[in-house]
Amino acid sequence: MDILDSILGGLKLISDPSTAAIMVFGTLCGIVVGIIPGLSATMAIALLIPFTFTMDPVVAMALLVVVYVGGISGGALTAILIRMPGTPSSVATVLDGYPMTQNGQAGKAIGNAVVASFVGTVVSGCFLMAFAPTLARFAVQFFYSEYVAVCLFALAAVVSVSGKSLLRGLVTMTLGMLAATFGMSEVDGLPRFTFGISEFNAGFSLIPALIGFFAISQIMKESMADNRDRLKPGSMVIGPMLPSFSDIYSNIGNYIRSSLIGTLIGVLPAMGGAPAALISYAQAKNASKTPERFGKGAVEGIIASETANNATIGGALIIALTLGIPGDPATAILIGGLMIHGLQPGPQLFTQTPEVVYAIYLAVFFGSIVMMIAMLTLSRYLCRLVDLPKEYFLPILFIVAATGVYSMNNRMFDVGVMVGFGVLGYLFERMRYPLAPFVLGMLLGPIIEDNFRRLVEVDGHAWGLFTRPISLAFLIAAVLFLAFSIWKHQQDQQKSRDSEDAQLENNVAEAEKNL
Amino acid sequence: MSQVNKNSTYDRTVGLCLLVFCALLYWNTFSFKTRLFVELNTTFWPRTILAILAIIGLILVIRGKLTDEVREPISWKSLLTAGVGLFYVVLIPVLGFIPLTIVFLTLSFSVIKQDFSRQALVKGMIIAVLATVVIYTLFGQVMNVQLPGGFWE
Repeated sequence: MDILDSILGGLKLISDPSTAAIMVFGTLCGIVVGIIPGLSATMAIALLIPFTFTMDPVVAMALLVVVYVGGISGGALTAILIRMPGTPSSVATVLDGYPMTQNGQAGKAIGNAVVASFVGTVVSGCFLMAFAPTLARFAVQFFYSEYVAVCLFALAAVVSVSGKSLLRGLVTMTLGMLAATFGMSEVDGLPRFTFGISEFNAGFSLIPALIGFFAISQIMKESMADNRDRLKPGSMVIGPMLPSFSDIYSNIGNYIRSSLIGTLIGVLPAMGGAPAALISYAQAKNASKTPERFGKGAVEGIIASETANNATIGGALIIALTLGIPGDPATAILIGGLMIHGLQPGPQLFTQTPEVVYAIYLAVFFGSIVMMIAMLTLSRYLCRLVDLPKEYFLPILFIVAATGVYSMNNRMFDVGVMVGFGVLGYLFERMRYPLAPFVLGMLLGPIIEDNFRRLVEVDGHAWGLFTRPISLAFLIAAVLFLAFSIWKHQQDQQKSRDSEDAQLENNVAEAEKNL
Repeated sequence: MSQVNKNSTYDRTVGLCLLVFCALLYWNTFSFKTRLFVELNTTFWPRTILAILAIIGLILVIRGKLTDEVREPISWKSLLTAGVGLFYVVLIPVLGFIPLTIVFLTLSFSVIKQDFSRQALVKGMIIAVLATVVIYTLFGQVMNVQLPGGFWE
């Protein structure tokens, strides 16, 4: 009965006409940002956070969630039409989406991508509703040592999946943890790394840092990118967009498998939509009776990619809401948004403010419905957004970001922090140092310090980490995760060395033959 | 070829920078105020992180190159964009939000487009004024944010 009351409470809040209008607007904003190459769902959420300061927490979180849904989905359009994924999540959609456009089947590709995005979001939303409360009830048993262990596990997971180098992931993760130590220590209220500057007492606020990291660094990158060779969708023939019944019916297994893959990968910290889409695409190809059609315009490929990348939304929200651990950078910003409204993600969110949790659930479904209707009816017009003159919108985005950050505390220092982190994010990206571990380090570092110091304060030692079963299980999982990724990394290196040797031997043999 | 050589050492440069950075911050931790009679004081966590970072830095210095990935070139123009942004942040309390934003936007439009003709500047200024009015109305009027008025306020 309580659950039903909470669902009805959430539904009542969401169905308010003004809230519904804000959510429709948010979904459209997300789609638009997703479509424009270079701008991502993460950036859209980061830029919209300041506008939510004055909103009711329920409306604010619903808005941010629908932007997330719209942003992830919008990227498919440009991936299909101009071979340029609007967001990294749609990278696998390009493989079959663009060949279909070349074959004059752009409408069919877009229609299937939109339905797949809808199915992925809804299925993962169902998983979110089913598993989040259970995980939250489990997390109630957590004490200091469990929180430390869970955070260490999350950090181990994020470092393990951070690109080709484990060490680079470790560098950015540790720097993120270090950045979080600047300013007042939460445990004893004493300042650290303030260098005698009073503005440093408050440390680096999370939201300006995240906006800098994901929005300003992207603006810096895009402002000098040369897009003259980019394809133009203006004159393309799109054709009918509603997917046929046979396309949907023959892909039911594909939908289910891709939804499961997306949700599971979404749960893993910092994996995000792009790896989910690629893994799901590979699985769909393996399972297909006609794998040779993949890469040449197979609808199954588009469905696998788009279902999985959208399914990461529900998976990422499961651990973000129950444990406060972000599944990807976008959910890290959502967690920041929750904190701004005085809400702490974790089990207490489910007991103290269940209406917020249910509003988030319902926003996932609402956003996916609006997204599907908007994209099926407006795609012909939306794709023209690719031609938006970036020389105008990039500086305007900078001003919106700067004004938004300033409006948080009326402090210009925060705007400076935003620009500083923007430069850092830009440099990291150029040098192939991954950004996601930095964000997780910054978010989880204080939780680890806080809980570890309290654990030692209460017990006089830290053995609780190894004697409490849940904590020990997470620590073992963290070690296994790291060990597996080191082993896999070495295997990959060995493989590439072997292929280089084979190549060299072939070249030598060919040269000898020629002689 | 020079690109490859440059890339083979940049992880080492990052490692060296990290070592210097860690040493400076570690030195700064001695100035932290601490509480008496606590198991772990304020310096514990930053020093732990700095120690880990220094070890990673040392490994980077020793190994030199971590992957064969080619680093994307750092565009000085992009850094200049951030520099101009920082300049905007510094000047806004003095010159105020409305005039500085109009000037900033007008110039940014032309710099990114690399077109400084009179026509482009006028078009840019019109868009800048419109954008500034919309942003000011949204934040200053709708959200009641006290935006910096500058020295003439």
